[in-house]
Amino acid sequence: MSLLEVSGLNVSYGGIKAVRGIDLEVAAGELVCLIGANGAGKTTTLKALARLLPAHGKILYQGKSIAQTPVFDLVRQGIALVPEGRGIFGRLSVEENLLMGAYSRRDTQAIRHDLEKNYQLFPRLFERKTQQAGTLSGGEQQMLAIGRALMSRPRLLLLDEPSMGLAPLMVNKIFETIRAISAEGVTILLVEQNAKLALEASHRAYVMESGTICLSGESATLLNDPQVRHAYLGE
Amino acid sequence: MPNNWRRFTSDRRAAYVAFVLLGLLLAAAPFLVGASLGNGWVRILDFVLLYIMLALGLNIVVGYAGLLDLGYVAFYAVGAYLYALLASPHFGLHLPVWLILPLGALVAGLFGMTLGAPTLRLRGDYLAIVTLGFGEIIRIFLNNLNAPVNLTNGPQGISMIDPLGAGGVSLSQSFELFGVQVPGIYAIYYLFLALALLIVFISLRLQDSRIGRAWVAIREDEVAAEAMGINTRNVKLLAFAMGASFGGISGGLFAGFQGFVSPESFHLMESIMILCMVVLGGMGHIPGVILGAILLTVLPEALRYIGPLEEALFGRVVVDPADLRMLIFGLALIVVMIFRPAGLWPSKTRQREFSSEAEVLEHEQDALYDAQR
Repeated sequence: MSLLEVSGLNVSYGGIKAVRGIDLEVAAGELVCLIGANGAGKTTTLKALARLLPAHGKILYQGKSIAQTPVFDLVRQGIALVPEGRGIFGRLSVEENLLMGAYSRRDTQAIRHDLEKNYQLFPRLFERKTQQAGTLSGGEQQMLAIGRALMSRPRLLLLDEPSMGLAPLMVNKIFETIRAISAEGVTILLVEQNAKLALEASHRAYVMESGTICLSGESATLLNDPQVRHAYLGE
Repeated sequence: MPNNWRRFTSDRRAAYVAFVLLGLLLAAAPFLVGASLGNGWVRILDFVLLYIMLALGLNIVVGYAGLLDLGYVAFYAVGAYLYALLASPHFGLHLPVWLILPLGALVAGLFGMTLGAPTLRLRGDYLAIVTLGFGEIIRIFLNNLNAPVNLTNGPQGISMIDPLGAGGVSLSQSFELFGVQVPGIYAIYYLFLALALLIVFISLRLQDSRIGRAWVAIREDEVAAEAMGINTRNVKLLAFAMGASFGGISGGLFAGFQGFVSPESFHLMESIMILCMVVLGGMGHIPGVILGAILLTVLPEALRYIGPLEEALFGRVVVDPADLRMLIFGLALIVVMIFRPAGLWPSKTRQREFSSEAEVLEHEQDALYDAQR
């Protein structure tokens, strides 16, 4: 059974339909990416899954509908979101940001342990743990946003455009980390504009175009698909 | 609390000594002030404490949760009128003070939620305008609820309110203590001081609590806060309710202290003054807010000496002291905001926020260098 099962998802902004009845599923342990051009509806889809936008359709998580679950409850059920534009708490320190990620947990011991684990994954954050998060560089902020989401011990991690606005070198670094998190068994749904990197990192992929899913399959297959290469990889 | 103090000073013994000295100063303050400046200034001292309580209440809403509230004085009014109605000849009710004050906090808290509920989706300027409207509505209601049923006695206000006190001891008159005549305003000072310290203590505890962190998260980024598992609706309502209840207590104290309330005391200007105390002192930083409240209460009073000063200098009053007073006051506000935009005594984090961007750029470079390695 899939961890996340979405069918007939519709999202509208006012009268404009941004997502038109898409189906997708993510199995436990998978790294699935959702790619597509600007305005294809990728982020809208992710926001709807994270309950940040009102949507129609079936969203099943672990076989149960989460279409009515309030946003703040999702994290208790194991869904963590790394929002578009990172959404870090700028005036709090790096460590305070990370601890904020564990807000829904009360097991102090385990939280400490996870904090250490995070610092191993991102040594950079350890160096800057007392620094105000708003003064971090873009890449560090993205690391912090991911680290913060991991602090809730998610089963499903929703990542919204982690490469946005970052230097290419930093993007590579972020993707390395995403692979490492996936290797540890966290299920990931990744929304990304950088199709090449996303396809290289993921197991399966969905390609979106004007609110619908036009292609899907194994990432390795799509990477060699002439149509995809032409439309999204600039060849 | 120990955590907070460690932040102020690493040397605990020095902190301890400072603590004791501060305690002695606070205990002796009315006698020192009374002996040097006269009892009029002890009264001002009482008001300073009242405004500290109000400013700390607003600090929860504005400083912690980042919700700009321009109608805060409404909760002050609710507390004051509740006291006035339940302890004056107006309805012939004379309930005890220890009952009215908590009740005032509770009722003001409910009013706070009433304001909070419809404004949950608003932020910044929009929220400011709605809260401003709310403050005015309360005042206008108080002004007009004398017909058809006389509830608030309209613009005349309610007078002959029972003074603060308990068990037959009234704090409005002077009384004898160990053979010394102590004026009532001294006793009021100690009552206000005790309550102000209580509110400081609650504020400190809140700041380091789960709820305090949730407020800060909401202030920083509401969507991310919700994604962290914070029930933003309830937490915001709690901020409104907590802030309002502090205002309600202060209002009750004000009514009992003055013996008279009227809608005149609860103008928009009053809300703005309290907001100025919070912003000028240092939003979200308790010592800063206290400093702001002290300065903004004392400064306008101190500027009353301008009239006599002009006479002494020029032999006559050149500029109307009342005009000059507000002019200097306004100028002082502008100067502080230009030279200390984060407030007079900001928290360390806010101070950093207003510092230069050079540091950030340097880190960007570092980070890129690191990625290259």
